[in-house]
This record gives sequence, structure tokens and C-alpha cells, in this order.
Amino acid sequence: MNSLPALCAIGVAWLAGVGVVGWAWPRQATLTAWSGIGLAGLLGPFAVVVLLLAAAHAGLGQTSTCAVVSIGAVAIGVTGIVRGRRASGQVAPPGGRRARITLALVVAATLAATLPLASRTHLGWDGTVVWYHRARILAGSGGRVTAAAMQDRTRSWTAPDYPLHVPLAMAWVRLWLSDEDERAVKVVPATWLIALVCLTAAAVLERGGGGRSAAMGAGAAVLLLASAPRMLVGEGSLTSGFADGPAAGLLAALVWVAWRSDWGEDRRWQMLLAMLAAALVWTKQEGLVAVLGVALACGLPPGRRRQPMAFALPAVLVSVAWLVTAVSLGAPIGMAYEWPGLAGALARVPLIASAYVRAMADLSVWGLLWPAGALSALMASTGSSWRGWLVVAIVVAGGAVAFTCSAWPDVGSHLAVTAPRQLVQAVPVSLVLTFGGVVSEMGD
Amino acid sequence: MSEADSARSWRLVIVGAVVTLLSHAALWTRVLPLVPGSSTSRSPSSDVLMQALPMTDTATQLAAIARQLPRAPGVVVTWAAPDAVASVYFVVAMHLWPRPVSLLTCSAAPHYEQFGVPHTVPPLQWRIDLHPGKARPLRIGDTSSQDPRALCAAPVP
Repeated sequence: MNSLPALCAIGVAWLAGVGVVGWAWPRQATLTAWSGIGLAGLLGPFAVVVLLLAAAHAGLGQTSTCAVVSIGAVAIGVTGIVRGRRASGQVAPPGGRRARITLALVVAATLAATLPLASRTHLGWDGTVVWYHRARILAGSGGRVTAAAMQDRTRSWTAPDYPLHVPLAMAWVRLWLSDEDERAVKVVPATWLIALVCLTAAAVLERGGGGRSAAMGAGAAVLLLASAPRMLVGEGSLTSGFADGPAAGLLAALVWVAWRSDWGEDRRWQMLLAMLAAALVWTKQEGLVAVLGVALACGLPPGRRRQPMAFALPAVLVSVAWLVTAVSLGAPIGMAYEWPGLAGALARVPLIASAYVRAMADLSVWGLLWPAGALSALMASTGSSWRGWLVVAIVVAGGAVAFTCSAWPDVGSHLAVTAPRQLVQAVPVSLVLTFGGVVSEMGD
Repeated sequence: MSEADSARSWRLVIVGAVVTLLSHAALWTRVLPLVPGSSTSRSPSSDVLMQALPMTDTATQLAAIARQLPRAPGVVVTWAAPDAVASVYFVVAMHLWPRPVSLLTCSAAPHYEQFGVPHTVPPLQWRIDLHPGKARPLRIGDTSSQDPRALCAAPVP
């Protein structure tokens, strides 16, 4: 029975996440339970991954590594909780209690409906042969990144140059198991699913001031997020082993915290922004595009100081350091992409644009989510959220532009497989901006 | 935005959300029957990718195969098109780590499939022949040859 060890492993990660939030959350800012749970679920596994890498490369054996990481995670958790003397979670005035209870019931019902799905769906193609494969390799070496694994050209299809957040998080759980069990490893995507649902509720609730409208908006955003079949089932869904789920959560968290910090003007949020940015670039390579997009949004219009963008520097350093490490260890880089020349790249633009439009308009996959969402976003757009929509546009456009360099023999096939997954990443942040924008104008 | 505009936007967004939720509900009637049931296998994700053979309880079966193989480079040999068995090859390679595992396809002109990363095939010491749909879909044997034609001409009995 591997469920208990897996739950213990993820519990350690959650505790570390609570501690990280305790350390990084600004003292004077009210921390709601939803915010705490959401951010802990996103940053906890990342914190454990960092500890695991450090312990593994310190030359400890596997058992010692697990013990040291667990002790470190508990220490972070306890000290963070002690440090974080926060308001008890009250965002709304007392009159909003019924609405907050309703929101709590909506979130609980949503998780009760979605978590059984997470236990039954599979890791998926990439989730198995790329991310879980690398997790097995990392677990086999106690968390160490070895040159042998990076240089194995018979396994170049495992994308050894991809960042390590997802495979190391899976490896952490694998280290607690006595034998192979792909079912137990599903606690990792389940964790990110819980975190994303709670974070979506928190972000909309906070934007609206915590009143009745805010709670309704938060409940609607959560229901839309968790009711879209494409978000929960299939390749790249939130319950699969792909990196798109945690990337979606971290992107939503980064944009929300940036929004809350008045786009970086409030320097108290820089540490939390830096952590979220670093976690995002180490989840997917295109995370760097998202971080730079948020940095750009913080820096616009001309005349704002440079310091709002300072949070992005650690993330850029993490991204560069990993690339240098991968190259120095002999990993093949950028396998699926090659520059086709300017004419070749431009010739692909109509195909790429039409593929994205077709994907969003595919009612048999997304229902009315994208058409209704686009209309709602137009109506709900406020002065404070245009920077967030700029980030969404940069993320989607950046993903689309990458296909101009696709090395697949059939670019259309590459688009069919990958474009829907990129749209999955954009849904949570779009819901936060849409509902957060409209409830922030309501403010009852 | 004026208070009236805010209220109108709010109502329209809620109507849009309700309509979208109904569209999702309609989709679930089609998607829910396709969600896999609970599995007793320790490797349900690998089992799905091995459907071309087919193979169940992949982790247990490949662990048993791994115990028979030296920790040295080997090759998976297929007489089908690479695309048809790529997922099988990937899963076999995953469960046979740390052994380097190459893929040889004997369909058309025998060649090593290297998925866009040309490299020198390591010295091979074992082979696993794929026979989808047969009673023994995986057949293990020794080899000291790396010649694609020789490997394809002498399958494991």
C-alpha cells in the first residue's frame, strides 16, 4: 500500500509551502486561508525540490537525503508559521460570512468532484515517458542530476534539457515508495490541482474585497475552471503528469500577486514574486517568457522605476544556470525546434494562427469557455487589469511564435498536440483577470 | 466605470458563466464514459502506452525482464512502422534504465530510429523483439551484432 507514504511525502511538501508563504508574505498584508493553501501547494513542492537537489549533490545517501530534506522542510514550515503573525483570514466585512461559507462549500464540492478524476486518469504520454521517466532516473540517483543521464543519446526523446521542477517533485514522492507505483505519484498533480482551485478562489475574492459579489465571482471562477472537461481530462490536463498544470497555477499566482502589488510598485511583494517567478521558469522553458512578460507589464508605461521588475532577475539567473548546466553535462538542446529561415517562419504564421483560432472555437472540446470568456473579458476589463491581459497575450503569442521554429516533419501535427495544452495554461489566469476585474469594480 | 456599467457588466459575466457551465455539462456526458476506471496495476499509465502489444501490469513484467538482462546497452527490434510502436519502445526503455536502449525498425529499409538526434549506436549485448498481438509479444535474446540487416534477418525464436 503506497498511498500513505505518498501522502506523507506530499504532506511534507505542503508544510514547507506553508512555511515559504509565512516567510515571503508581507507582514502587514492580510493572508486568507485560500491564499495560504493555494500558494503553499504551488511553492511547497518547489521548496522540497530545491532542498532535494542540494542534499543529493552534497553526497548524502538516499535515506539520508530523504531525512535531511524532510527535516529541512519541517524547519521551513515551522519557522515560517511562527514568523507569520497574520490576520486570521478575514478579508470580507462581517456581513460577508454567509457568502464566504457558500464559497467554501463550492470549493469543497469542486475538489470532491475533481480529485477522484485525478486518481483515475493517467499521467499521459509526456507525463509518463518524459516527466515520470526522468523522475525515475532522478530517484534512482537519489535526486542527483548525473552526466550519464543527460548524455544518454538513446534517451534524447526524454528532453533532458527541460527544467526539473516536475520530475524532481515526482522523484520526491518516488523516494518514499517501496516499489514502483504510478498511481501513488498522481498525488503530485493532485496537489497542484488543489492549489490552483484555492488560488483562483483567493485571487478573485481578494480583488473584490471579500463581500458577497466577490464570493460569487470567486465561486463562478472556480466552477468554470473545474468544470471544463479539457482542463481535467486528457494530455496536458490538470490531472495529468504534464508540466502544464503547475505552470498554469504558477502563472496565475504570479500575475495575481503582481496585480496585488500594484504591478511591483509595492516592494513588500518582491520576495514572493521572485519565488513564484523562479518556480515558473523551472517548471517549463516557456515560463521565462511569462516571467519576462510580467516584468514588462510591471515596467510599463515608461516613467515607472526599474525596481518593479527586480523580481525577475533570480528567475532569469535560474533559467540561464540550468541551461548552462544542461549543456555542460552534455544534454542535447532544443530537439523539437530549429530555425527554418525567415521566409519559412513567416510562411507558417497563417497555419499557426488558424490552428489557435480553431482550437479555441472547438465547442466539442472547450464548450463555450473561450467565446464566452472573450466577451466577458472585454466587458470586465478595467484600468488595473490591462497589464495582466498583456501578460496573457505575451504568453499565448510566445507559445504560438515558437511553432515557427518547429522541427516536426508536420507542423500541423505539432500544433494539434501542443496548442491545446498551451491554452490550458492560459485559462486560470484569464479567469482571475476576468472575474477579479469585474468584482473589483463592484466592491460591495 | 460607473456603478450602472459595473452592475451591467456583472450581470452579463454571470449569464456568460452560467451558459458556459451548461455547455461544460453537455460535454461531460460524452467525456465521462471515457474516463478510465480504477486499476489494480501498479503502472496504469505505462499499461495504456503498451496497448499496441498489449501488456498489462507493465511494471511487474518489465521488472522481471530487467532481471534477466545484463546492465549493458541493448536494442528493441520491431517489424512494424516506428510510429506504431514508439510508445512501447519508450515505456520499455523507461523500465530498463540505466541500460541504453536503441530502437531498430525492420520495416522497409532496416535502420535505427533516433528521433532526430543522430548518434553512434552503443555496442549491443541484448535484444527485445516486439511481436504485437502474439502470445509472447516480447522475446528476449542475446546479440553481439549492431548490423541492422543481420539483426532483422535473425529474430529471436
